[in-house]
Amino acid sequence: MGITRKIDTERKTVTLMLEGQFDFSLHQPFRDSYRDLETGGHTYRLDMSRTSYMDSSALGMILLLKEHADKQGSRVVLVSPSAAVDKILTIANFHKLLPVEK
Amino acid sequence: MKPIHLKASLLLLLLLVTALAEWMNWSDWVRWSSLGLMAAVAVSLLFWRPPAESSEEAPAGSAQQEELQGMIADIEQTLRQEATQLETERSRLETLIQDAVQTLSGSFMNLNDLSTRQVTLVGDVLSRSQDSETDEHGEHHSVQAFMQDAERTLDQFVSVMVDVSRNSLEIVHRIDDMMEQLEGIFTLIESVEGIAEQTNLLALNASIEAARAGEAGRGFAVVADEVRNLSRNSSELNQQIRSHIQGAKTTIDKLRSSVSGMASNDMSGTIGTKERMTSMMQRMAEVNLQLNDGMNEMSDIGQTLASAIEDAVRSLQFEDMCTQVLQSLQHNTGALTELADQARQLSHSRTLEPEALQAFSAACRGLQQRSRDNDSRRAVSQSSMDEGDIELF
Repeated sequence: MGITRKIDTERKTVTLMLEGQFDFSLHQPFRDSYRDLETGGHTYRLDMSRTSYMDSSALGMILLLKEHADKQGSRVVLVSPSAAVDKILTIANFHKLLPVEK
Repeated sequence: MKPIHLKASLLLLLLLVTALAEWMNWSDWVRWSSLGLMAAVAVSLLFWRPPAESSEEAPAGSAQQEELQGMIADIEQTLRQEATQLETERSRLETLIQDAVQTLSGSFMNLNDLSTRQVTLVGDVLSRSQDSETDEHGEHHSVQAFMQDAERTLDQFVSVMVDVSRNSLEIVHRIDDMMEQLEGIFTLIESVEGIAEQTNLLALNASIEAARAGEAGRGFAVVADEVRNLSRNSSELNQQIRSHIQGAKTTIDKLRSSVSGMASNDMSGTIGTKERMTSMMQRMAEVNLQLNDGMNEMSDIGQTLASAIEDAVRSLQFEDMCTQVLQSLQHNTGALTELADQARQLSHSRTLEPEALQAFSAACRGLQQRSRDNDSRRAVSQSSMDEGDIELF
């Protein structure tokens, strides 16, 4: 359950592992996981392989992260979304918005 | 057996062959050769004199003559009867064919009308299913277009939902920031309260010191009291500020939970709807395709049917040919009747003079010639039904 953050300074990646339900209850920890990173030029990797459920607020959170990343010149990649999550990403046309690594 | 009896029976046989040939419509060669033979036998029968019986020529001759004339009368009657029957049957056949052809051509006309209507209807349906997709304003009305609209609307709905979530989250974030500020104000109020308390203590100490100083400290005691009052007022103000801010905090908390409700929406219903719509559209496309295929096939069948009917109607020309054949048969029955007439004359003449017999032969030859002429005319008429196109009549 929850969010685990791993920062790889060599590869300049910030991996956010989202486990279980990705919904409104995670909005604060999600925001906190990138709020303190002010220098740009890195990649946020949202690992969704263990995400079982996602609601519209999760999509909103991803959009806000993207805006944050755009502002600081970073990028966001969605990694290995589970089948259930992939359906929601498809219906919201997120595949056109963000790169998705299967 | 006497030769005369042999010849008479040969004559009867030939008569039968001739009648049969007429009836069966055998080739004219058979008909007329048997007729000719018959005439020859009849003539030879008339002229024949048995050499052994020449002495009793007169009485025997007249008896023979009577016998012959009776025979010729028989032949005449048989011929007439056959000719009448042939004519009756022939005209019956003609009527039958005409009636049948009339009924058939009526049915085919009906069939043709029906098949034409069917082709028109199918064509209408086909063109309507293609035209109905746009009305006079150029708007799409087909179910497929409607489904595409619905899908677009659903996409818009999802994107609005995501936008609302994003904006609500942003508001929640702002509210959280604001809460942090409010917490800062609370800390400050606590500091201010501490200062007020210290001021109060200081003022209390000052009034104690003033009392100890006696009369000299009286004025100072008044000031100390005022300071204590001020600190008390300041404490009350702080309390009021704290409760106001507390109120604001409660309101903001309510706002936060309202906005949070807006931010969070379940999307499984939308996914279900979208999936159902997609499968429905696929099924409808399949049904539409099948319908179009069926309609096209029906249209093809209609055209094939129309050409089949045309063939059938063309085949009805056989009536014309049958009527021609039957009418030419009328000449033959007429010839038979005439032959009967000639035989009748022969049977009624008092003596079988060579002139009468020659006249009979000449009449026979005349009939032969007429029949040959008729036959050559008959050969000119159409012999096949495949020729020429025909309109419905």
